[in-house]
Amino acid sequence: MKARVLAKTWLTHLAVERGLSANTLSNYRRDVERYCDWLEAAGLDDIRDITTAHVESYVKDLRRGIDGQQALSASSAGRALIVARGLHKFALMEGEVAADVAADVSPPAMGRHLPDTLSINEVALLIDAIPHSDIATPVDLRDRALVELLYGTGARISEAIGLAVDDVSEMPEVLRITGKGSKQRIVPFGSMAQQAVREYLVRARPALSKGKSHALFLNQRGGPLSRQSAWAVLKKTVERAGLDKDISPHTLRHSFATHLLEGGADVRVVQELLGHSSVTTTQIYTHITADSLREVWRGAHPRA
Amino acid sequence: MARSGRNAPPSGISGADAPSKLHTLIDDFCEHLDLVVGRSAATIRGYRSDLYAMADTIEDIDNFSLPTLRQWLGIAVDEGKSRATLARRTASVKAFSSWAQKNGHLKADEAARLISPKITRDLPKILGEQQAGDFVENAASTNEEEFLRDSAILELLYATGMRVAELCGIDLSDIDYDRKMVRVLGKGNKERVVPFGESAHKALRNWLDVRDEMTEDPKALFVGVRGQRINARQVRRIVDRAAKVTGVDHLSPHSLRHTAATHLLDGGADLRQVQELLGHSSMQTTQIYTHVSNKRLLEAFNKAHPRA
Repeated sequence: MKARVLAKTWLTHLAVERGLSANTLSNYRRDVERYCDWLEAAGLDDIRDITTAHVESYVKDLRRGIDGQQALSASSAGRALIVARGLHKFALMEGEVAADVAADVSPPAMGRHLPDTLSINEVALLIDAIPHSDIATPVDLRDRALVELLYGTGARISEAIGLAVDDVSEMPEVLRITGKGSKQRIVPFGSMAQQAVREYLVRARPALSKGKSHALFLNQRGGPLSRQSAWAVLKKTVERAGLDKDISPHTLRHSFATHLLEGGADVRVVQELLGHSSVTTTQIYTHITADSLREVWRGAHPRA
Repeated sequence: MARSGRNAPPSGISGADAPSKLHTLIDDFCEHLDLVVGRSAATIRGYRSDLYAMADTIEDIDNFSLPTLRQWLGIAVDEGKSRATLARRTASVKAFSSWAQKNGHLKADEAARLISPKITRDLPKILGEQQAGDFVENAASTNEEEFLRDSAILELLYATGMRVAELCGIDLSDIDYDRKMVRVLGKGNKERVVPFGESAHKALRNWLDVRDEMTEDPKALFVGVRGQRINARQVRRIVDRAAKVTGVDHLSPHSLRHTAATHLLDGGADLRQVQELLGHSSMQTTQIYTHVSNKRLLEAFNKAHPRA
């Protein structure tokens, strides 16, 4: 059977029988189409002609960059490989082939990158770098509310900008956040974040609003704040605070998790707050705090 | 399509320009390790140099067989190569052989039955606690700035037991002074954070006070000649000179790693925790690094043996 025909059946199978979300499905479609394009270019139309060596060549070409496209990192190539493997596994399940030739091809090793975090002091510097009293502009008040909310709740940027005015207008004790995979979770809405959001709602948002968006965070034209703009706000604030740090869109989320663990919160609780499906994802933060390790070191090393 | 040749299933051995064919295969194998397996540059460098050495003797993939491989390793023995070298070479050709067979360049996995020699490990030089305490304060440097830098290096090496390459790679932003932790990039691109103590903290602070006089580099924590990021050779010299002042001949930074690991174990840390501090993937490696001291042996004996 032609690989491309099988791929189509597979995507339908994933949507109907596996119930994958639209987001995931469109990622799969993109990756499986890339794989089929590559197979065609290599003269491998039929799924039965493909060998393990071909699958490995595919990974190699992804990492070199196919047809002038950007070379992929080990982790991106690994994700693309997982999709190709899925197709071959499906071919076996459907009885199109006698063996799964891709099963033994593992994604490239990736190492371990620990999340970038700020210390508690640095977060304080960051927040204080944004004006908030009478000298603050509406944009300052918005930025401060955004940063307080990101650090106070550990929300992803996409989650924070997805909040509506109605979600916070009554200043509830907890916020309902809609995360990846349409999963909802509840996070505490702390007093500092509340105060910053209240100030923003009273003194700044009316000035920004053109009455056309319900989004909590607005841009200067009155539309909902985009992910890119929110990220730009973070970068600008780090510069304002004069912090010499590499930061990512998740830096405040990582700091939130790390500071909670340092404050004695249980990994399971932090997992819930971050909305991780699996606790192993949360566990990476324990490598950063390494509290037990520090204690051991202090007790054991002669230069402690 | 330029790449279709590469993607075509590997065919039999052509025979034409035979001597370079083996080299080409070795290069293909190394590329596979890089792109598909994701091995680090240092690992691949090791494989390539072993396999090129093999190709010098064996010359052609047609000659790649168990007897010729044994012959090649035999020459290395005659040349007085260490067992560790032999073991690594064996591992390299075994990996190559298995890959070549899977990709149709060999009819059989010729090296599969080759056995790695057992590696004997000499006990590395370990400093005693008193000695180590003296050592870190014995930086032998020519001027004040270098003395402060060297002291910080020695304190940090002994406190954390980190590898020299890890030390050289530290950026200013990798140090968390509030928590007294440093983030290092270890083997296999794995990051970890390790704690240090008050004396390393002080030494680092002192070094930072003068660092800007030595360099304009915005990132590197430690800099050497001409303000460039310090390199492994310079660190080795710093360690060695401080050792001489302490009355120890030839101490390597790696001995300090052994020393730190051993002292942590002596101080009551367990093997699992030392493993995490050193950044080992396997506890077996950690075991090699930690040497049960006489003191500890005696203590255990006295505590546990009925006739002690």
